[in-house]
Amino acid sequence: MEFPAFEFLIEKGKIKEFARALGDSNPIYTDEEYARSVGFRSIPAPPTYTASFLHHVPDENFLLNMMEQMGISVATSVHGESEFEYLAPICAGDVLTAQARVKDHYRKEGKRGGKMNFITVEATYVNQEGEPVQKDRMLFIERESAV
Amino acid sequence: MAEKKLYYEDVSEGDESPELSLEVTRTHIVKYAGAGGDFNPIHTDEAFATSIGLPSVFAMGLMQGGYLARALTDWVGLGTLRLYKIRFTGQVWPGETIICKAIVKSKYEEHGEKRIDCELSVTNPDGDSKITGTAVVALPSKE
Repeated sequence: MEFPAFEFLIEKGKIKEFARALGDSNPIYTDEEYARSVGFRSIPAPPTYTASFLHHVPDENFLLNMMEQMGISVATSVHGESEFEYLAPICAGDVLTAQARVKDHYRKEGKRGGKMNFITVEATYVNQEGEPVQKDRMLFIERESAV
Repeated sequence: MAEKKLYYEDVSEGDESPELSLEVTRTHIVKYAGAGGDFNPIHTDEAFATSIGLPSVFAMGLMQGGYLARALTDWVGLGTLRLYKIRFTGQVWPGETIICKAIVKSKYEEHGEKRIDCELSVTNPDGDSKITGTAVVALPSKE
């Protein structure tokens, strides 16, 4: 299952807001001169910043709706793992194209009986130069109701 | 392009990052929801959370995952991460204190870079696990 690709601009204000929400006072997220002095083109994205894109960039609640489409219930599922593979820096001013797809989906017996659903969603991000910058993988685990 | 905070030559297996600790409040969760765009009601809507049998709202795994990444980049510098992989092993409830840290497991050269593998953890003060993880970090060299 593949979801529609979407394109979006990396914005300084959103990076600052994200860093602040994590109490991160590193000047690299607010001081462009400092960011350039250590080699970045502009203000760089924090390591887990891409995780926010799937939530609200294509449309509000993209990830929640995507889970619904796959028949995954928010009430009985948990976010089990997240993996971020960094291929090149993401900086303010970049225009990224994101493509999310279900990479893997399998069922198995849970430890306490009952079936568990394991769904891995992979998102790949490519910048305006066509350069792949990041690959994220998220594992969702759902307990199937014992009906 | 990376901050030079920690050099490969200054790191040994078993070295630990400074700990980052924080008492998580509902305000932290709401701020992260706004900044990160995660409006799943189990994290922000107490009435919804209790209606499905939870004691209260709880933090998004990627919120403490973000604090853990901050603990790591405060130590190794931004731009050095090659892989950051975390597993959410326990929920974090409002009022709980979390402790984030990284330990160096190995040093090696790969793809022309001097790299370290770190083991990552978020726990509460009782030692209950909230996140376990690994990171691959490429460090600058003094050579």
